[in-house]
Amino acid sequence: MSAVGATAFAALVWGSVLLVAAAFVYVAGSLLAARAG
Amino acid sequence: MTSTALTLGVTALTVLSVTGVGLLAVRGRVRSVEDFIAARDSVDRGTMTATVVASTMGAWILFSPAEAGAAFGGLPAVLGYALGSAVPLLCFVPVGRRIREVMPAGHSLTEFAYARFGPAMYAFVLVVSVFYMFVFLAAEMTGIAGALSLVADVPLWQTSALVGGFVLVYTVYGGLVASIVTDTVQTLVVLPLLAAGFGGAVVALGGPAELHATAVAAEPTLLDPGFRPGVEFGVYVAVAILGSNMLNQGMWQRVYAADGDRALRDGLAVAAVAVVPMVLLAGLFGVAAAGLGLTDSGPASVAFFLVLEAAFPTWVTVVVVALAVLLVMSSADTMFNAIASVVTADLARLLDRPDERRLWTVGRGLTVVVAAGAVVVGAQGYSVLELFLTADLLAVAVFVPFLAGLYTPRLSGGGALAASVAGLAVGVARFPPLRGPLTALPGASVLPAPSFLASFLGAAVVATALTALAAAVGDAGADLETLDREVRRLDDPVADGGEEEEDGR
Repeated sequence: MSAVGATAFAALVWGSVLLVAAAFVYVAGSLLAARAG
Repeated sequence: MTSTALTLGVTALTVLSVTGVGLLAVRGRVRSVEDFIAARDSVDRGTMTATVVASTMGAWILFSPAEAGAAFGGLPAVLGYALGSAVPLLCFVPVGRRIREVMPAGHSLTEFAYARFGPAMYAFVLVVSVFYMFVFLAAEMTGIAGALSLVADVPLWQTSALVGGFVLVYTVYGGLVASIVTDTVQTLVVLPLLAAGFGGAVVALGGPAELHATAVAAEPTLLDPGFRPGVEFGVYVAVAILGSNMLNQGMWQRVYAADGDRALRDGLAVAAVAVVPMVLLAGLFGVAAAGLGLTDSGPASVAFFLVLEAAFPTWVTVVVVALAVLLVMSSADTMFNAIASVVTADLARLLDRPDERRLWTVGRGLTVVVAAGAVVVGAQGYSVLELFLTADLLAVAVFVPFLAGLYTPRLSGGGALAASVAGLAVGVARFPPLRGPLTALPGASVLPAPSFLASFLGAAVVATALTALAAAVGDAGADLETLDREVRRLDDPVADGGEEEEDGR
């Protein structure tokens, strides 16, 4: 098998950055919702 | 190199801020030993996600995944590490629900081991669990002390004492409640820092296309998902993480802290999704370091920091120092309280109706002892990798027989112990760090070649097979419905003078 392509690598990198950001949004949103509720 | 005074100042500011938050937030919320070690049914799903992410993601994510990417097999090793970090969290969704069903008033995994299997298996689980947690703690303290020494020449003992001392202050005061509150704040700071930091690093290094081209030109196997050594590393590290996390008292405490099945499920599932990209991105720093040739002259374990120094100005290094300190604090407070809680819950059972004041003293005293040990070990600069792998192997051999006790009444304590010991024996026979001592034994020449993959998989497979066999041929007739009666709650109303109700439950 050969190395992953440049596009797949870029998707892996930026997808991971976005997922970390999304986890932050989820935690912050849940905490705010719990406080409001 | 960054200024020592600046780095120490940032570290002090970080630990002071977290400690202040911890002390203020728990004021008046810890009213009993039960609150101190269990915080039962008090955590919503957002907080659950935050505390699980913070507890499991220590400063090790800045060292081990990058080292795996640089030295142990590139992308497949990193992918295995990342997915392996998520698997135990997903396993805790059904297992955690089962723990709460079988022993709703429980506090610790050793409490379950004693009630379900008796004293022999209890002792084995106690040793494995506490050994693993203390090694994790020592590795965290060693890691942060080493990192600050590397980037700013801070003496090891100063970092270790500063971080350990302040974590101790709020953990002794607020126990598990303080740990969970500070975990939440730490996660809210760490996640955006990681997203911005990793994104910025990729851009500063020329973007993904440039990194890809550099890595492929330097060593094509770095980005080959089928590279065999990397795949093997990914498999055994995933098994090791699974076993050790299932015996992590910090996770058991959080299972009980969730305020219902939904908080447990959602919190763990989102945490599992969050840790994958965190570990993956950290690991890709190692791939980048190897591609750029930065690990040719330096150790692969500091690949993350080598890239940092190569690509960023000093102020970014300072921000990463704060990030690393936050990562260590969030894991260290979990381990301080987890180790103390195991012994406190066991003492409540072993002593003859101890009053709550005595248990408080024991719980807090043990936290101090554990912290002092971690600070001292962290200041020595030891290599803890082999200890970590040994602790992982012990956990891999014992976690299946141990958890099987939650589901089948047929498995006896003797059967579980025999399966664990047999799994451990098979693992030890192939375990590379122990090959030296083993060769001194008679008949050692017939041992197969040492291999981490064979060691971890062999231990897990043999322990699992013997657990199934023991449950099939024996019938211990354990009554899972009544296990909870073995548990003594630690928030009983205590009359003046410490007298308790007659049955002590």
